[in-house]
Amino acid sequence: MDDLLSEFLTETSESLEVIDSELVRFEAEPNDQGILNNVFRLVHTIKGTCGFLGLPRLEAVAHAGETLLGKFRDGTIEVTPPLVTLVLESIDQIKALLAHLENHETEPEGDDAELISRLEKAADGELGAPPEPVAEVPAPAPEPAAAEAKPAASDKKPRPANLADDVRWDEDLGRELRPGEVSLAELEAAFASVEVEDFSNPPDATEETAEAAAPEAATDDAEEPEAVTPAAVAAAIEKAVANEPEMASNTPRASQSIRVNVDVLEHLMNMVSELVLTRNQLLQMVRQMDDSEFKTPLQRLSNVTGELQDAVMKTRMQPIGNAWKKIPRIVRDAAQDLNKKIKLVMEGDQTELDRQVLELIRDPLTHMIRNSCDHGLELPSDRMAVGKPEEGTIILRAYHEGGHIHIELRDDGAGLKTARIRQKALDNGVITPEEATTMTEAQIHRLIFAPGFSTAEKVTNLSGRGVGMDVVRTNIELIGGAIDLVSREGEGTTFTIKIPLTLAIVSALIVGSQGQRFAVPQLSVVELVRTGSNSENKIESINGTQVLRLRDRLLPVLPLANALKLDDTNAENKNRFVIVMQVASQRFGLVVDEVFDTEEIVVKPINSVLRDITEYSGSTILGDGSVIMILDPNGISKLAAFDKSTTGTKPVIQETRKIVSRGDQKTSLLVFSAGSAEPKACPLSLVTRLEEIEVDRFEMTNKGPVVQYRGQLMPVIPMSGGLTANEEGRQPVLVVNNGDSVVGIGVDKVLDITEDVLKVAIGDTTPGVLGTAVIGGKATEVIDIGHFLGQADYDWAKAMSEGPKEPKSLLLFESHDFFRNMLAPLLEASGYRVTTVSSVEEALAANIEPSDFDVVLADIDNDAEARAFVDKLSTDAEWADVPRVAMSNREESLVTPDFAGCVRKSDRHGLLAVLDQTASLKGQAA
Amino acid sequence: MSSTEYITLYIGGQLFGAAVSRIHDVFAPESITPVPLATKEVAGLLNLRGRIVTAIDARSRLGLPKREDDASVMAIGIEKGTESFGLLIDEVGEVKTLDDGDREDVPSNLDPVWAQIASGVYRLDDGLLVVIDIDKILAFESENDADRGAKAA
Repeated sequence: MDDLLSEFLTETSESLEVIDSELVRFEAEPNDQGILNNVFRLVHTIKGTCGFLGLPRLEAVAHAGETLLGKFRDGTIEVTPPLVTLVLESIDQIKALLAHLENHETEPEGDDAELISRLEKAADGELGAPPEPVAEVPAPAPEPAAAEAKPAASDKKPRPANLADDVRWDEDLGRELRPGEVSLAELEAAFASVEVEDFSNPPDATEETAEAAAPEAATDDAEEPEAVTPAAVAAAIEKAVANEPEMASNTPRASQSIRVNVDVLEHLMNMVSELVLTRNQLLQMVRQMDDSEFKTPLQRLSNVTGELQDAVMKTRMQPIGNAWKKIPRIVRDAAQDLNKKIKLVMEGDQTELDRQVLELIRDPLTHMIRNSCDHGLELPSDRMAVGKPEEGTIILRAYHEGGHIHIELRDDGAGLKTARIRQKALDNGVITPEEATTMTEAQIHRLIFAPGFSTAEKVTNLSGRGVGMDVVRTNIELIGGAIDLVSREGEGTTFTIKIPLTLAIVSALIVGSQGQRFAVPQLSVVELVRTGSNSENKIESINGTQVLRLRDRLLPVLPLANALKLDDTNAENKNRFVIVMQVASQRFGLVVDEVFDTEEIVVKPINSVLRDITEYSGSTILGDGSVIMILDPNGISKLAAFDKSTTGTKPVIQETRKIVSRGDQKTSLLVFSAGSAEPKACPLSLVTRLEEIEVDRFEMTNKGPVVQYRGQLMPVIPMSGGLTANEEGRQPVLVVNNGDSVVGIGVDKVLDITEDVLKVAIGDTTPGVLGTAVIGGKATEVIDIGHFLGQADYDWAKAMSEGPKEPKSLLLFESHDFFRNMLAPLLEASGYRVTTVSSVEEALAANIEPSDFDVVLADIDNDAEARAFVDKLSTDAEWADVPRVAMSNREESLVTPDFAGCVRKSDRHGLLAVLDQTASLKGQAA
Repeated sequence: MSSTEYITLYIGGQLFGAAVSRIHDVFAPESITPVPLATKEVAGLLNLRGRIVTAIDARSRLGLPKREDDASVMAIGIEKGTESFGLLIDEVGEVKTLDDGDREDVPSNLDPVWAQIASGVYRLDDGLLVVIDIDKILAFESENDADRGAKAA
């Protein structure tokens, strides 16, 4: 693009931002000449430059807008909201034209006759409020005046080359030529004389122009026969010029600044980062040497590098006000659209932060402001009704605290309606009815950050399209920030955003797991806890889910090794560290083996081939020159499914298992597919772990595929069909713990873990299938895991069945259909003759004889029925010498005097061992 | 007739050639940091004079067995866009200038993965030289892509 044009675009878009916010201010304070002059000057500059660059369409619009502004300034037309809207409209049109210009380097086709004619009409006083009496001089009057003024100007400075141009404008733009024409000549003169400086210092150039214009205008006017109004105009202009120094003190203006391309700064930043890293390396090397002569110069180098780093960082810092410039306009438009009265208070707009961060928070902030206007604040009438001032207030505040920028957005509106959010979340399936009753008010409020959540009853122009706060949250989290809110119904809502000052350098904790080092951003680390057998902080587990007792509270924890699928050989080591992390409103612990140090690290973007791994946010080079990965707390919390709002995260590791409640016959079920698309299920308690194993780790033996798994060989039995046909990728495997050994069962895909009443509705004689049950509303085949275990060559059943030489007979009392159906074939496969009964009645009806049985196995978990049965047996002399074995999953019931042995239901290995032992007891007794 | 300079290299005993114009560096990789969860082609990250370089294991990319632990390994540095890659290979040979006209098409019966990364074959006196298409060997469908795509769906 033409250099001149690109300079013009940059400069003009900056001016337009200022104009936007200044105009809104002006609307509120129509008597403030300083603001108006500023706006007028900026529009004027744009117009003038357009003429210079040959952009007639832009110029025409700018001119028409300027005309109206001129009327405001003269006081001939009273400032009213509709008129300001009209001016804003012309500014918008300029923006649209500029956007086109930026993309195509030419002005778009067509014209803006309609807009211009409206602006002209407004300038003629045909729109909005009637002109003030002072301005009684009829609007057309300036027309002849202008026409006369022009030749006068030409007379003064005869410039034939420009004359043609002047004439054309006259035709195009009509009456209100005076200010434009005069200063165009001046502007060109200014451009010609200060060719180089004028872009770096545009306001000054304009000032010159304005100053120069003033006397000239005055001279022109003096020649006019009808001098009343023009004199007033001249006076106004002079006043404006006089006001300018005041203005300068109001608006921060960099007098000693140059424009630098952002790329140059980026490059500089990168170089300094490298320098810092190299210095760190040197420091580390020298630290290991005693008494090195390098020490002093290195110290100096270190200081200089530090200062250089600070200085370069500063070049990237910009006041947050730059991201706020558009906000007054947004609030104003929203207030108009919604018929609300809104006061916007902005504090701390000079708070500085990295420009990269600035760019990234601009959109989320805008969205939130719109939300506050639309959903937060009530209509004036509603506000009056509850005794609040008619005008709602939105406060936007920014401040530094602890190396972060805090942005606070507060409104004094209606607050969040807890009940409605809860209902909506229920309707959308974001939460379950159970959760709805147990969640605190604050937790419910935070649901507005959940994906696809919008409570707006009607979709308005501003918001309510269903993408909302979740996008805001995602954007903020992307830059390592956090968002939270506090709301009181009737009193308003406060959002707080915490974002890092810069993305380039972060403070990180270096931790180690399985001999590898990783960096954890300090921002999300709350505390470090050392755990150990002697420590009061112990990691305990509930059904495989690990939790940490921390100050009388339970904190879910996840070993880093599991999160990264490293082989966790240190699982038994109790002396580890837990990093307590806070991600959004979730707190969890990350278990690591070692904690080394904190280090300031320069975040390097991650290579595109690794970008999909959400567990990392980047990589860096440490002081010792080694490369390490930076963990992304958000990604890890999602992986561990600690984050409820993320649906669709596949629970792959055992920590994600739901805690099973056994009270009502509900069973935790693992739903998966194998062979066909239809879902299959088995009780989760039978599966020790879910793994995804890379296909190339499978090795073939003559007994079928095996995998080296945690230091032992694990046979893998494919369920229906075979292992995944493709040679790459991962094979989901259900790992079944089999006492000393493990067996893997290959399935196609793990679908879900669900909790449901397991009731086998249709029996099935297919080997390996117990029957079909309705799980989660779908017909699902219930798989007999035991059958597949039987296929493994290291099968526990066969191994154990070598024990009893003759088949022993066993009476199985189990009232639960599922377990009965599952246990019986297993026991038979292990060499028992099994008789099953499900109730005392059935037992009596079956007319069982004590002498027929070597052992009685009873499930005492499920009901009183089983107890009654067992009691009956123990009081019956005939049964007295038949040993009894109890099965239970409850810890406390495992100590039962009535039984010869007691085992956990899921512990097949133990069960068979106990049975084998007790069954032979009878023989000895007899 | 125009010709191209190739640097010859060995991967799993096979002679390959890579256009010299695309190679920035040849270096012996030191202390590669493995990246857990990455696709198997990614051997890890390493620090090459202050730049983080993603090491891609050519053997794994070509579906060849893993290098033995004590086997020698070399790397060629490649810039792709703004990113730096290091392709881990077994051995670096010499620079050969070969006529473009002598280059033959990839045999149709070549393994699809190999066919994908090869842009031609030269018949040299001491064997066949497979020309590596640098862009293709660095472009691989990561398993994670597929994985996560499935999750999102």
